Amino acid sequence: MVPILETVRLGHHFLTRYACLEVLDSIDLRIYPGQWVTVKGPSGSGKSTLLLDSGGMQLPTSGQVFIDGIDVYAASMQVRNNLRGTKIGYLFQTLELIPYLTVLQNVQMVTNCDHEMAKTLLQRLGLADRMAHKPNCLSHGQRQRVALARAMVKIPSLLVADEPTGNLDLETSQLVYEILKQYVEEGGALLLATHDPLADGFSDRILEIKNSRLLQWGEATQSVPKHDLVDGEGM
Amino acid sequence: MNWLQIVTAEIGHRWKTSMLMVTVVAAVTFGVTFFALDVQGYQKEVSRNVRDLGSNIVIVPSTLDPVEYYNQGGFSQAIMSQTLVQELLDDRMSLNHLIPILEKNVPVTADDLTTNARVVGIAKSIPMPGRPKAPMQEAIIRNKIQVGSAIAKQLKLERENAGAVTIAGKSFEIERVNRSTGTWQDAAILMDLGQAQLLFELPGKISRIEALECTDQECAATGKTSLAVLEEELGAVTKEAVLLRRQSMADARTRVRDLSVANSDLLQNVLWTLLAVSVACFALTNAIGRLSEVAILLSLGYGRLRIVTLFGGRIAVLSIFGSVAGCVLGSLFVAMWCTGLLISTGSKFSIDWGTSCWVGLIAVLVSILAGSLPAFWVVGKPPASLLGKDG
Repeated sequence: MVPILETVRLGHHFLTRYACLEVLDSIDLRIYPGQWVTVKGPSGSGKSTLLLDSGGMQLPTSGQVFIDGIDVYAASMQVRNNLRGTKIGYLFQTLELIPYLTVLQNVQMVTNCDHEMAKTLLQRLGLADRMAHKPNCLSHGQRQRVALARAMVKIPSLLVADEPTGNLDLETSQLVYEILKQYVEEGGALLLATHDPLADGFSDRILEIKNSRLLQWGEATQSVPKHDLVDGEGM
Repeated sequence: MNWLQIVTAEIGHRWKTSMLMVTVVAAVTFGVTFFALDVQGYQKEVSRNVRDLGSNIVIVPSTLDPVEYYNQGGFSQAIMSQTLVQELLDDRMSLNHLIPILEKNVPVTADDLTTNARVVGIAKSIPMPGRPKAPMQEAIIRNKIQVGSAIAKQLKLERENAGAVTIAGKSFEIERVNRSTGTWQDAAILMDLGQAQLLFELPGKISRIEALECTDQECAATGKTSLAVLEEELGAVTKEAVLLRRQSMADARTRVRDLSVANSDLLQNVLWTLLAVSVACFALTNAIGRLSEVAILLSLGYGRLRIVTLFGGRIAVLSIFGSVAGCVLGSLFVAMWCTGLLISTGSKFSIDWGTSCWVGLIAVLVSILAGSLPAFWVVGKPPASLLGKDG
């Protein structure tokens, strides 16, 4: 089976005035359709960087990212845009909603959006009575669900979600996970970054970033063998 | 969602900066339109005023004795055929406002008073074909005369109810007594050229042709002086006439007009630059302030064209409103202003909507270009590199 996401020796460092901060080092990862992969790690460990690089949103310092077999950063701008428009759904940690559009419009502005699907998704996420509101009229948790709806509405092959339940209560978090579970069961691939222990029960694999390396969660002192990560047998 | 819905929503959300954008574009286009049209009116006014300084070219019979001519203050008994006027027109000589004149010094009488006057038969100025201009000299009504102020004083004629004057045994009603000009015209009586020819029994004859030189293009093309150009042209038409150039008047006229054109061009260039820079800066600032939006759109799969259309569309909508308002107000204000300011041409001042439209169009185009450029520039970058980078 072709992995929907594959990273090959993915590396990312940030240059500051005084130092070179290495965040990711030679990350090899494969995610297949129907797989839920959760990435954990302390704040600043590089979770968001891994997600941004993997989701085609940020150019890595080294290595390659393949989505559905296409080398994202070697592809033309048009191909990359097509990937973002059709195969990748991305939920930013900072949400990044358009402030002047309503909740429904924020979801409907996605390319190739099914408008009925947008309404259904918002209803399922408990935002039926908020569709005509602007984001600034919503709580952070509500905005988080709008951003999730926007990421999911086109039913992407790969959903990358950075802390989707960070500000949600337990009940709503459970609801969000149920929706994500259904998405995965229907063949979607999910790469999730979270601190939320509730996600563990839904995950097919849980990984942890420590010292710039991707490790099997719970085995923090030992690097996960490459074949475990790429073949999804590390659980 | 179509782009217009998104653009409209964005304008509504950021209505304060949108209004500011409209105001800036309106103010700048107002200023540029106003000055562009004002400069046009100013140039016409200058042109009219230097024209009204008088003719700077005199074509006289070649038999004329220059010493006698100058000694008598620009008067001579020598005559030539009036057909020369048509020949000059046919030959498209570098002249305009041709005024054929026949004049004689004769005694004139009003009541019991008699004095010598320079009786001038003068025709309406004739424009060169292809160079239509407002007449420099209007026709004098047949059977009526215009009397110079010095003659009127000697004959004790009043400006109101001046009566009639007898010239060579024929009585002429006075159309008006002219105000003093401080020139030979104060000692002249003006009448219709044809009537003067009949009166003096010199049909088809004239003393001279006065005109304005229009040699700019020829001089530029050949590098010759204006006098050389004209003498060459006249020599090709006839040997029976020579040309006198009122040097200082001609040069002053040229210098004033050239200075006016150069200054106006400079002013216009400065204004166009001001228009471009101010509108571009504002549009650019607006666009740079929305880099996060570009990032969001990129992350959703929007391509270069759609993103640029969204940014350019917003600026287009706002700048169209601003430029229409600015151009219309600028045109109306300049019309009000110029009507009072331009004494000679103000009453005929008309708004040049073509120029206004150009100003508006350029303002819109510059705005769109400046507003779209940042989006066009960053659209190839990864979205995460733009998030939080709003300038």
